[in-house]
Amino acid sequence: MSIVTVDYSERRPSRLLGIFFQRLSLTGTIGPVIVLALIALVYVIARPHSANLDGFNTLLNAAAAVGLAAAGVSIIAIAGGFDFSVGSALAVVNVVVATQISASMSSQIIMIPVGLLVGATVGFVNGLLVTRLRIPSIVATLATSFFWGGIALLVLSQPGGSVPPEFVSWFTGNLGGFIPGALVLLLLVIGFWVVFKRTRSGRALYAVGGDPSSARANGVNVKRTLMLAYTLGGLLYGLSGLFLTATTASGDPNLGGPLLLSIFAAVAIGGVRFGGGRGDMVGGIIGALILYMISDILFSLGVNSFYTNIFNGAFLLVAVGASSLSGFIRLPRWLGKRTRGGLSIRGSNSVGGVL
Amino acid sequence: VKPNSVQENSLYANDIRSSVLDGEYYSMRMRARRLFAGRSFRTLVAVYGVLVILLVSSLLLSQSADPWTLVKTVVGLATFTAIVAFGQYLVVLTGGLDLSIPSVMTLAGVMLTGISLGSNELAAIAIPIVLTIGGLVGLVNGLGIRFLRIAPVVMTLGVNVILSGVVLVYTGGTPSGVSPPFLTQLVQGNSVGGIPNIILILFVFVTVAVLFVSRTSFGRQLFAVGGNRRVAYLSGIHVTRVSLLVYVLSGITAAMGGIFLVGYSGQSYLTLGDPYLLLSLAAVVLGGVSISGGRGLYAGVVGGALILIAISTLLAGTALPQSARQIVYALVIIVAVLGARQKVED
Repeated sequence: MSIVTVDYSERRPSRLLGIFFQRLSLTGTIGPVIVLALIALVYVIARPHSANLDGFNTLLNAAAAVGLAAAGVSIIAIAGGFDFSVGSALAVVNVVVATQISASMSSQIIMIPVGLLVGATVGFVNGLLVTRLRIPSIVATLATSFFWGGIALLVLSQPGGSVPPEFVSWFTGNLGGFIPGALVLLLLVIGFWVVFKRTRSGRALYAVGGDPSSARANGVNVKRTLMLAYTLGGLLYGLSGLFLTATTASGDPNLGGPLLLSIFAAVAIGGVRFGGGRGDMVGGIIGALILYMISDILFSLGVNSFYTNIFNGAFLLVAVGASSLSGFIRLPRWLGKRTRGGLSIRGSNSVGGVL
Repeated sequence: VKPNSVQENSLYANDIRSSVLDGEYYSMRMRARRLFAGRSFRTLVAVYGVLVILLVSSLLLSQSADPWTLVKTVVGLATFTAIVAFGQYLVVLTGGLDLSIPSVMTLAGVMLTGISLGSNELAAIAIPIVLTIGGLVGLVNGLGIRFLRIAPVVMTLGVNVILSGVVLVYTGGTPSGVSPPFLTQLVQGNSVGGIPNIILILFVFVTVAVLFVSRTSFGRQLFAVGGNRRVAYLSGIHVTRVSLLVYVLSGITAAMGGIFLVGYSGQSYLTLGDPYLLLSLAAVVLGGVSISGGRGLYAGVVGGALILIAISTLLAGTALPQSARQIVYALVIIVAVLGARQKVED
């Protein structure tokens, strides 16, 4: 459980930093953040020529689509669900936008809410299957992954379609000439999440993922929370699909399949536990950044790109294995879960302390 | 423990006590009564009922095809899914999930053609090697899940990603070699009476698999571990050994599936195993196996595999585009799951 009550009476900066790390530690995001920092260091050393704005922009553009989709999967995973349909959701958003868009400015603007709506619909249907028909999420989303994959093929049977350059530059260009659009988008999503997590619904998400029956006993509307999780996840698939459409500038009904495993890998590397209750949406984004940084580092070290998957997979297992073994390791006090003095932490494992 | 699985657990616990500890077996009458009265049997009737309806309607839709040809096509094509789904079934039965199946299949395929290079003699070395590697991959899955406590989804996913890289490195991007002639003959040929070998392979495999699950103590332990891990442990079952073995067996059956697919297509290719991630899982779900473990029969899974292939055969005979197949798959899965639950609630 990530809900922490903190006594802010001591406001020394070192203490506040400690609080910040403790929050990260409790959601399981501390590991991924540290790993991201280390990988970023290696990245700068291995590719000094890319450690500038252009390089940063390229990296973000590559990682943002997977990161946004992984963020969606993370929300669903935190609530205890699982989503096989993310690949098909991306494909359906991609083909709808790529076939319906035209060169006129109004159509390009309209396509953004349309893409979001398509993504949210995918999530909403998943939510209905899981909550109303009470189908296990693995099975329900397996079925919908076939369904939306079929719809994507109906809309566009072969790769094709084109996207006007303005639409592409909105997502992949630099705002005001130096702030990458992808960064703005990611920060907006993270900002939304930071606020949402502290609302009643946000806390309910963790409660339901941790233990649905205790959550229900504590007055959480489990079905509504799950519907919210799937729909929010779908909304993020919509955003990811729009971004993907902008970066590929075309439509492809089969583009989701190869991304499915990368998205899950990003979620797992980001410290989100499949099974619920632990992790953070930001973890998915961090996981995607880590994956893409590793492949860039390997590329600049002259490693054959065939080896990228081996490294990514091994990295995934080492990261997850290490974090699951970390329960046996005593962390330093400022990182650890147990503290004395000015901080008190409640409900680190029980749902009772959440609401 | 979910309330509705308690009764069944006690049933299996009885089985285990009698067969594992005392070495006794139920009388034939008890067996028969349990089989026909059980929820699993009704699921089987439903699965094969749907299959027959699908086959009859595809016969009616395509006037030219004779029933024998249709059955040959459907059963032949379903063999690969059925074999691979056996491993997935074992894993799901114990409460896990195996996402590494596609890469194991592809790796098995490219290694088989790469080592044998189209010769029967070299294939005699290649096939044991490939099967061993499949088993070892499964062992790694099981060890990671059991001892590193990595979630099955994440562990098998990671192994899948690694193996997809291994396939690329091994082949250099283009698989070499062709299927050994005897394998091609085995998979594509006919035996006496014009029965395709592939159907005999499926028949033998299903018989062995069903006997393995229903008549061995290991098979009973599977249900016990899937039903309730803790109760199984307290009943004296070596839970770790069972959980490791299911992943090993899943690796081996995935490798077998890859080998047979090479025989079927005459060569290996990089996307050999890709469709089987979702297909194997869909067959398990359609076969009435509970995704949370402990319940379901392999005969149902075979029916699920047959239904999936029958649907695509049915739709191939109509004017509907290929995309319709996936949409129908989705609806069939949902209806099947809802139907299975209705029976539980009776």
